[in-house]
Amino acid sequence: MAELGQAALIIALALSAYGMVTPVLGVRRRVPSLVVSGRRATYLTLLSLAIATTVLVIAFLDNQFNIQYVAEHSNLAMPRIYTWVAFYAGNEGSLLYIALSLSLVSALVMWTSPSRLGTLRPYTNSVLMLILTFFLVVMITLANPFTELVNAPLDGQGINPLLQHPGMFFHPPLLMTGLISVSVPFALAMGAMLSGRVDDDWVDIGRTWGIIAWALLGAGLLLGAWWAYTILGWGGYWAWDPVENAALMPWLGLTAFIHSIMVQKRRGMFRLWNMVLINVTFVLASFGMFINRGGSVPSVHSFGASTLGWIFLSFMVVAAVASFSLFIHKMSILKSVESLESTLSREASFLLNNLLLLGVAFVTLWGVIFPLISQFFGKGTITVGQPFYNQVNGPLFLALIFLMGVGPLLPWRHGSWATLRKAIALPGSVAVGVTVVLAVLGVRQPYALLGFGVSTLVAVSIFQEWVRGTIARKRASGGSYPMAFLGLMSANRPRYGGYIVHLAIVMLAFGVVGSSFYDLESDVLLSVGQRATIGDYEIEFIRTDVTPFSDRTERTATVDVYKNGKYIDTMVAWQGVYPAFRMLSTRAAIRSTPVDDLYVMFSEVQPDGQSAAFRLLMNPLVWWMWVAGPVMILGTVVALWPARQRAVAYVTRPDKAKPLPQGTGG
Amino acid sequence: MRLAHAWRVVFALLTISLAFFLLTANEPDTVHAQEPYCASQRSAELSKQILCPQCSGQTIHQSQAPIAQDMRARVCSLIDEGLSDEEILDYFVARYGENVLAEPPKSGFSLTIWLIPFVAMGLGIGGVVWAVKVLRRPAGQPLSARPAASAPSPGLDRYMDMVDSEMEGHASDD
Repeated sequence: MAELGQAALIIALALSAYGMVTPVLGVRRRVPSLVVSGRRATYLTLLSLAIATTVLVIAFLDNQFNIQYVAEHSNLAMPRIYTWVAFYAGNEGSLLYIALSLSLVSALVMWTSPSRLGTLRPYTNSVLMLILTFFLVVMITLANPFTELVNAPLDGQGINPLLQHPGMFFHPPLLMTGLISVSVPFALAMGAMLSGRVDDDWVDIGRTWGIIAWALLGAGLLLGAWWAYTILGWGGYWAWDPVENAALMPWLGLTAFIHSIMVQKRRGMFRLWNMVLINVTFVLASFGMFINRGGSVPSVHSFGASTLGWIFLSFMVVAAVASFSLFIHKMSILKSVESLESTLSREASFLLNNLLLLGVAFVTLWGVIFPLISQFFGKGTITVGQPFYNQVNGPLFLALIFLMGVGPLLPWRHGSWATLRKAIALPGSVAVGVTVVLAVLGVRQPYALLGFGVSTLVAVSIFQEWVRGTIARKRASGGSYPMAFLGLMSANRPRYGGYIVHLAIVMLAFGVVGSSFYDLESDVLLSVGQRATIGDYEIEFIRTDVTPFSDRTERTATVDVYKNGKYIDTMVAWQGVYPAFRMLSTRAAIRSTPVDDLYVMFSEVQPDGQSAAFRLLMNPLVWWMWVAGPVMILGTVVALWPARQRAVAYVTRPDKAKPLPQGTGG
Repeated sequence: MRLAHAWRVVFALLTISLAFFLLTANEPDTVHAQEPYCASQRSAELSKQILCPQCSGQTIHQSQAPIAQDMRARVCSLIDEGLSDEEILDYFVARYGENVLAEPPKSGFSLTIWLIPFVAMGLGIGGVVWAVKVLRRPAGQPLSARPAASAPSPGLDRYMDMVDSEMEGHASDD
């Protein structure tokens, strides 16, 4: 079996190298069939990588411990369902997964991109296959998942217990796919510059794939936060860990990009800037992969750590130099000819949005690399902890959310203070009202007050837009209010999808502010029958249970929950002891409501099972963060849903195509 | 006039952020304390400021490592001895060095980490001001009169049509 996987990888490499060379060659030499065959090679890389993946999955299911990767990441006792997680739990497998994702998105972009893009397509194809070739070469030569052991062990080493969690089925794959999908808008940008099609063609498809990568990465980040919240057991969800930061930075870059590309779409401006942004984002994504592989910066995410870091660093440097050289070379065709008419306009607000987003990305990058800088200056490794990020990025995020409320109220080209005042009157006064009420109710943290106030501003301004639009539409075209609302949504999907995403961001901000400033925490030692109080809740320790399994011993602690003296629920906190790893995996019992989460963990059970140490937390508003995820996805889908007139444009296109004279295809 | 307004807003925002940065910098959290067997809200807040020396950037509050547990217990016993927050942090700095603090001190070499973001934001604002100046210049030539370089040559366009029809012709192979 290992040989089959090995062969599939080598065939994939040959195909991707072919797909890298032929499209460019075909354009340069004017041989259409080369372009076409390059595109087909791209589809076939997907097929051969799918075969390699299947082989590895079967090897896991079949316990083929003669394959080193299988022996290192699974064992006989591992539940079969975790095969999928084990597949990408280590360095080699995750590279295979990334290559598979890249070839999938490459095939998708080649397959769905309309033919009117002309030479943009083959150039993009070559760039994508260039990146895939890099991954395949690294994988085959340095981190081959199909390397065989001379002496196959009887049992494998097993999978890291921390990874045995439902969140692991989605968080790492989404994040890896998101990170690698940044290659698509990047490759399209390269293709646009190489082909000279830097206007409408590039804008539409660049925006689409920018949003797709953005949504994948965002969903991956949020799932990671959820995983940390439920399993890492400190009650938090975001720790500004270098690997988290590494995924956050390209996401911030993409956020800036998908906004500023709209300026190019609507006004033909920022053409140079959009290229810079997508280049920077790709470099940040490569940096993220470097951090993931390198281990040169201390991080808790050591699962995929290896010595490949420096190769990825070189890749990042080469990508940066190559893309910026191309950019400088092509600068003359990228000059904007439109001018900014007013600083009080949508375009100007996007400029500010870009500044703030890149500011957060820079602060984060600075925090990640500072330990290396301090080392370089002989000051030892100064680790930069959460307080730095919170204090510096906090105000920037706050300003961004404020802008999210005001920016969409500004018209394109130029607005007037009078209309802005009118548009912001209601949201502004509601926001001020909410802030005052909260202050009266006893909210004293200045950040929290501002955070809630600004979030309210955004939410109200979005609802105001919806209500006004719906009323106007009903007046214009009749029908019921719900129909008018749906009609409004579908009339300008990018805009209203964007609003839904903004609403999700507000929910996220709501949860972050609530849980950062008003969390309660208490460590208590309880005997069976004793009670402890946290906030409005009271818990009573009922019992502990121990269940032995082949690979682990599970311990649970059952508690009854009372609120204001009334019984409301029974919760079970979980703990697994994995002797093979000498590791303890904990899973908090979480009772989540829109108002607050009650979070119960236990440790140090006495041998008689009659007393245990508990950590109790009450995290307000965290619920909103997890609900924000689906809302964000919904908004993305609405924004990307193809418009009807576009479909018509595609259909009319083939009329223009001229039949190819026989014989020129050789 | 409009420009002045917009920039006033920008600078107001920046000033507010700076003010908050300074206000919240070392403000101790005053939240209701409970007194269980060891840990309290206060010890939790302190644990969040101390890094576990062996756990790759996690604070002793987050980490489940034995050394982190020991250090948490130490925080509790120091609280019991009646030390102030500052004294407790000093105790850990004396023992493990300045790197034990999750928040790098705003002095000495570590000050650079706090200052560079402000320098960068300043440069960024300068960049935006410059961009606005450049962008506000009246439009030069209309879009259509741009050099031909931006539009692909008609020859290539025709050629790409050939590529497409090649694809069409073999559509069944895909």
